[in-house]
Amino acid sequence: MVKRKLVQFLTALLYNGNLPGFWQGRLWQGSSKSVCLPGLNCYSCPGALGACPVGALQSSLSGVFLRVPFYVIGTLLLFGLLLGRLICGWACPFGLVQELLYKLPTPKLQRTAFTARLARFKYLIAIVFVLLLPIVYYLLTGTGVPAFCKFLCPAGTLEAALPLAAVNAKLRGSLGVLFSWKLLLLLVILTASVGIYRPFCRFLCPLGALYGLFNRISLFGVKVDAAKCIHCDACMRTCLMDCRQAGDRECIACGECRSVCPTDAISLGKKF
Amino acid sequence: MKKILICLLLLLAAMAGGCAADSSKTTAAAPAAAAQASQTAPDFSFAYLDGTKASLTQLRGKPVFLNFWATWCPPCVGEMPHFNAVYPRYKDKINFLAVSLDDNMQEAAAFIQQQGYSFPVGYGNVNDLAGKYDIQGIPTSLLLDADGKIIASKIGAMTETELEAFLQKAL
Repeated sequence: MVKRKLVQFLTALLYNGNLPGFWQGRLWQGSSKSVCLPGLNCYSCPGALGACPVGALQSSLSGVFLRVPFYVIGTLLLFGLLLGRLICGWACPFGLVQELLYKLPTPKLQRTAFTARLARFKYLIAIVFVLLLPIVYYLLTGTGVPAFCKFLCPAGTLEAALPLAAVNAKLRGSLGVLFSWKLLLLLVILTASVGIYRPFCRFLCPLGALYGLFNRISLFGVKVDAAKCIHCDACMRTCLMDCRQAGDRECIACGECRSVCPTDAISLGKKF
Repeated sequence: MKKILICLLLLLAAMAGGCAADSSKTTAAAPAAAAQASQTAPDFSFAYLDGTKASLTQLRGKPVFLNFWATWCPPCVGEMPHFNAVYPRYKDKINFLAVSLDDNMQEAAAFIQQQGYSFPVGYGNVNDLAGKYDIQGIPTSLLLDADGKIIASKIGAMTETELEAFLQKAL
């Protein structure tokens, strides 16, 4: 899976190609910022050349006027229909960070029926924090709030808050309780990532939840040849996500299961 | 697998191409360093919400409280009641100008009218202002002296007490 790591690194680099932004503490202001990236990558990361789809979705539900984000919804549909959660496995910088931490040689918590149940939690996060809370805030206060970005997103803390605060004294001075909470959350997730494979992606990520809904119908991804499959479950014994079968909504198309399939029933690529 | 790689690489190449075409934006941010304390605030044109055109230099002669905001920014609209509360006490000593960076002036005007705020609000070109003032986030507030020099700046929303302390720096 060297190729996957290479693509993950390249993606992270291309998402965040404004490298001088990191030491200048400045955000990229080019027109590419109005383009949604496929993966979760904070708009306010100093290196970010594009917008986070979850952030863009939240942005439309922020402030004193709620908007229907046709462009963002269309972009998410396009990415979902084309690639599904393959994006999580191949083109998400925060997923890469978690995977690298998981490589540290420590005891690992294996997937269980409990983690499979916990994987449903991300759908609740998506509905409550991305959709409902901004609208509830709007109805109660007249101002929508980007609840997921504001209260939860660890990618934002890692990619934006920390690098910007490191070089910008004014921003450091304005950090408060909310930053402390989000830093704590980030540290918990990063620490958990050492012993649990991609915990944020499996249990919390609203973007993964959304893309997962397209996994069965996406053009590219993991496909199981029913005629060849002997239901030996070798693939599921290898799977680090919470899949019940290769290519289901939890599958991030990492492709690890292909190498253990005794009948070569699993393929990764164009499905239809 | 190859098709996935090709698809991803094409996607990344398209992004890289788009960004390369935009490479001037990295350097475009550099002049913004001028918008620092003790430097003269870069001039810019704006329109008051009634459509009257103006520029920042026209406000010279009195200190200026300059705020950048947008209707989609919860902290921005959250601090506006404080602007409105202190404005009657300071308007003779300090010029207020809250510049909306919204996509269109109508949204800003509708919001201000709906809230009944009395402090002056303008509408500016976000691309022009973001570069000139190196706006890294909103709300961003600046305090200028009577000659247009930046006395203080603040990123983030202020409470009424913080706002008063901020304004006092100009008096």
